[in-house]
Amino acid sequence: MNIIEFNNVDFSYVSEDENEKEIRIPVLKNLNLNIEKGSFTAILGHNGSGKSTIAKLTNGILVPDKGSVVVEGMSTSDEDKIFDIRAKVGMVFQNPDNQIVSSIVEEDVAFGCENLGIPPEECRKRVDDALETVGMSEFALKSPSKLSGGQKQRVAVAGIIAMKPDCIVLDEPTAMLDPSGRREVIQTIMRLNKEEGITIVLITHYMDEAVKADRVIIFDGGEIKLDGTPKQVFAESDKVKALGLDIPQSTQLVEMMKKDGFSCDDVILDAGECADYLENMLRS
Amino acid sequence: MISDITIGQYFPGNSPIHKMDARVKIVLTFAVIITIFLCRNFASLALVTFSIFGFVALSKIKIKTVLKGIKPLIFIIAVTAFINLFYGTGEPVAEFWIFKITKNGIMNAVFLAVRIISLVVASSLLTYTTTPTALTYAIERLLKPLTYLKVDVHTFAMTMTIALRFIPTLVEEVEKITAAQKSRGADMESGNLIKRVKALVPVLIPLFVSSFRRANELAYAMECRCYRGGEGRTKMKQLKMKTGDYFSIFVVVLMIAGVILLNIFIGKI
Repeated sequence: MNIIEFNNVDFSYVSEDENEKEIRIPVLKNLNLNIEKGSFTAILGHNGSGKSTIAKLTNGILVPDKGSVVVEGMSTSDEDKIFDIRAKVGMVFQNPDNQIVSSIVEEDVAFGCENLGIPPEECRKRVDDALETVGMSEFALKSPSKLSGGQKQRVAVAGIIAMKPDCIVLDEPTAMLDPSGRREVIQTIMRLNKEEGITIVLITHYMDEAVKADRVIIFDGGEIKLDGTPKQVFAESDKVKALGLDIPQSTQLVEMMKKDGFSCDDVILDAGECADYLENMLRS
Repeated sequence: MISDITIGQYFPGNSPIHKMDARVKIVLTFAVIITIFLCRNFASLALVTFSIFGFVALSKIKIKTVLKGIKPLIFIIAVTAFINLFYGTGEPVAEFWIFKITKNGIMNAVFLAVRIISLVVASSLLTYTTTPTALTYAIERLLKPLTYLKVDVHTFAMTMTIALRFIPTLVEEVEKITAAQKSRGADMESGNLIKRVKALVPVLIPLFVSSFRRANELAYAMECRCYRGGEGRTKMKQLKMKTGDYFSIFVVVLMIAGVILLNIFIGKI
């Protein structure tokens, strides 16, 4: 079953030039995209490929010019349904500082719950559970300004989980974090997907994050260029590189070895697989 | 520099004062401040001052911290007291040129100094023991009747919450921009006052621009979390009056009654 459906979506940003004449900058053209319930999808693309626009279209922050975006049977163009949609599809942004509302962690996590009009006792329970899920319980009464980037981003994720969404869209959530912060956030996201069954759409720059997904979609110029499991997508390493993206380091290493005459039947995605491959090869 | 100011700061704790309902604390603080102005003699002022310090003791806030809060105001207190020295009536104790210091003047000066200190301590105690969020929520609840006059109390409280939340973020940003401008050769520390104020412009403009960007992103994030104003919103932490609150109200009422009686029976200094 699909949780999010993009049907023939056109989208362009409108701005004005010096003569106050309207100019339209087209971003998406006739896009069709379905996100399956419970899946973990990674969306890749270089800057300006339209991937952030896709994020904002999923919960009605932006509305398509043509076509429709449907979330669990509700169209984002339907203004009466907009808050129902936002309660289903939570969103986490790049800069953790600019999405935290309160000066106390637990009160910030409660913000979304309170907006949904959930009774105080239920709110309390959801906030405690959400903080537990992201591993931030001990910081419940701290000020967000005293936390590291990774911790702040986990608080932001907790704030979304407390609303009990079916899907979370993360727009480059790790772009401003250091490597350890990135790891914290990605592990949290993966746990949410595997244990809580929440659908994840991860928009990212980092290939090592994308390979953890069930499905990788590469965008360029507002169109889907590659779509498939990480192995299928990164098997076409030349295409990926032609789109201005890197391929994971391990994949790259094995590719280079293949060119030098070594054989490998599988697509290698991470360091573990790579180590196994090298070990087998050295033994034989 | 900014971190030196203790007025308006919150000191976490678990005392009976910390646990009080923030609404009660606000109302009582106002009551005490008004009572301070009603005092007409030393006996009544002493009663109020002792009550305030009683509450301070209950709050388990170190007396040193409280006195530190008065420190930036010492100059103002001293000047006010000094001027009042010369405004007394009656027999002069000391005299030079056209200035006369009378016994009454000295009493007035001391009275005023004690009054200002009590004022500062009473109002600091409120912020020392109440989190900013509890404070804004209490203000929202107290001002709720104004919604009937079409005043948007919720938006006001939300604005305050966000402002308080962003103070540390913006302080950090100012530090970053200052460092960035310094590394580009900006001179922030020398020259006269006007020159230094001018040197702040290259810090303030980037700060201004980035604040707008932050505001925009925050608005997106709030919309994504289904924010649609105060209507239909619940609150996780409910305010509830408990025994401690009723007890404090009782103490303050007694104090006010005491002040009125002392004012009547002893009269003006």
